[in-house]
Amino acid sequence: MKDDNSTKYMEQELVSIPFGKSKIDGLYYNSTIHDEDNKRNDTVIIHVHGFLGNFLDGSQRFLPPILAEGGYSSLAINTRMANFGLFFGYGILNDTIPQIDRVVEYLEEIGYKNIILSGYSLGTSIVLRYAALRKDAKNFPNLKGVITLAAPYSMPDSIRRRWNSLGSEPSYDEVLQEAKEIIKPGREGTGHDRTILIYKARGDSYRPEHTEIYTYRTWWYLAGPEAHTAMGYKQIEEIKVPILLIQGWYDEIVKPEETHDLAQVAIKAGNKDVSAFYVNAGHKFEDKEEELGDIIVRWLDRRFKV
Amino acid sequence: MVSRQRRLLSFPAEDGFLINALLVSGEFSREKDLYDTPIVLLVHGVLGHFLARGTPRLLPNALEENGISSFLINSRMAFTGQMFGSAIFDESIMDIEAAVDVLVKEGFRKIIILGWSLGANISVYYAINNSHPNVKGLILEGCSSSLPLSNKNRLEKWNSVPSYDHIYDIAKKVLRPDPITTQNDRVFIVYRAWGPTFDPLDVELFTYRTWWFMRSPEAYNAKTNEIISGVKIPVLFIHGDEDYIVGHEEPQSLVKILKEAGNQDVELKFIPKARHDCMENPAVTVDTLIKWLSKFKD
Repeated sequence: MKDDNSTKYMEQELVSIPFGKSKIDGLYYNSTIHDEDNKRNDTVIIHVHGFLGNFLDGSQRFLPPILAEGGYSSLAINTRMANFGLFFGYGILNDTIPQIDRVVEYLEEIGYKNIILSGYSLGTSIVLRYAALRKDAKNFPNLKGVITLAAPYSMPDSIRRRWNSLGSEPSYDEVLQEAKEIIKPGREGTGHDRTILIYKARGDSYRPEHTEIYTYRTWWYLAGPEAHTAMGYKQIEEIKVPILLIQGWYDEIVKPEETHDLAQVAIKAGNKDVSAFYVNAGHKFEDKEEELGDIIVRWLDRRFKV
Repeated sequence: MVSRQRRLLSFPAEDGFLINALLVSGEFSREKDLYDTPIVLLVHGVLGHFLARGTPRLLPNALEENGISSFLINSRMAFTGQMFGSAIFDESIMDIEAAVDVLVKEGFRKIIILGWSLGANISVYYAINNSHPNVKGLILEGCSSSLPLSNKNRLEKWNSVPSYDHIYDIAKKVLRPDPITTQNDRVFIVYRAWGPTFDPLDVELFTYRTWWFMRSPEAYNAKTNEIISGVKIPVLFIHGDEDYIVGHEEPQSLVKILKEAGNQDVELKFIPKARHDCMENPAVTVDTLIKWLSKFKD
């Protein structure tokens, strides 16, 4: 049976990494491109999905085979924020940190020495937060780099600006007022949370593709004005490992200058290895998959090639 | 020798929808043995996918230990499909057709479709339409006799907000002029759909269009009790003895309809100590399936 996703450059394996009482699902792409001494590249990229995403879609799906051809293995994972985590109340950004700790540990166990975190859109908030929290190289020596694809400068600001410009229903401020009541101290786990719909959040119609869904709690920790963990600029200034930022020039969700501004913050904070690239594409990098992959492979080669 | 396989595949349905699927099979001494052995094509439930907990996650490995291969698909009903408009019940049989085609082209001759919950209703609709001759039987796990009636009863039980009838009224307005061709659609929330609270875990999310074809009074193809008489291949129902989502009487009524329609190769097995997910009792479930599947081995 032909597997369109398998090539001569990689082996593919579904993995379920034990995590407490549950598991973290992922798709592992083991590059079979080795160096002249038949030594495996000990660099691996962890891919983190975007809004409602999972390891079967978008850049988590199309990048690993391209990177495998360049000699780099990948593990695309589903975090708590995958699929409908935001709708049912458990997709809280900070709760993904222990999950990524476990994924890093798993990759270390199977021999990888250079671990690169790559996030797409919402996933950039996760990887920037993680790298900021795990910046101590003594305790986290194998975390060697961060790649962001379509990173918002600040998720809360980006969402507020988008909703306001589209005239979302309800408005950002209306959601905020309700959320404040729900999030009051002492109300955790008391059954006060609610699922909410935001019409005209991603476009100027009431159609499903222009609608966003949260609970007040998941919204608060991702999009609320106090969601500091989701403010990329506050996280990126803490990160001292190499950073690669890439964005589509015609991104309709995140403004192109947000990547520029994030790079500036990182450089000003003293990071000597910050790169930013734009490709001629929208938020999903459609039709520019190969170009995106080539940029990443070249960036990795300069730093981690065997 | 055919080696053990765990492979992810992607292929399009007739209308271009991309289906992801997972093939799980064990070792076979000859390729012919692999293709002569029944393969179970597994269709997930509501918001499900091929890694969802319960049957999709647990059954394939258990079957493999008993020499049976599985092919698990993520149909258009998977993940958030019903919330963003792609999960149209009537169109989902194209996903089963495409999966069957993949298996048939590969050489599998004995395909058994196992639908879990929503997947069971889809599988019945497939079986009465374009069922391929290589599809030899159906396994229906936790099968509701009618998705619309089941939704109506559940929403009434929990006093949902909005009510079933109110949703129907709004849907008729939103989906003008015709639910099939309309470009109008919206996401909506049903609070207290799965339990007595307004908590997110008790809500249900649809678009009016996905609800219309899956749950509305006009979702004719999701009324399994009205169409199942057209199924002429062997059917095994498995049902958790403690299932509180779908009552015992539902598969019992479906068995009766099938038998009255002349299909005598129909069995119903209640799985003790299991609720809606029969794999809560893996020993009895797997034993039941293996026994039933053994009749297709020769």
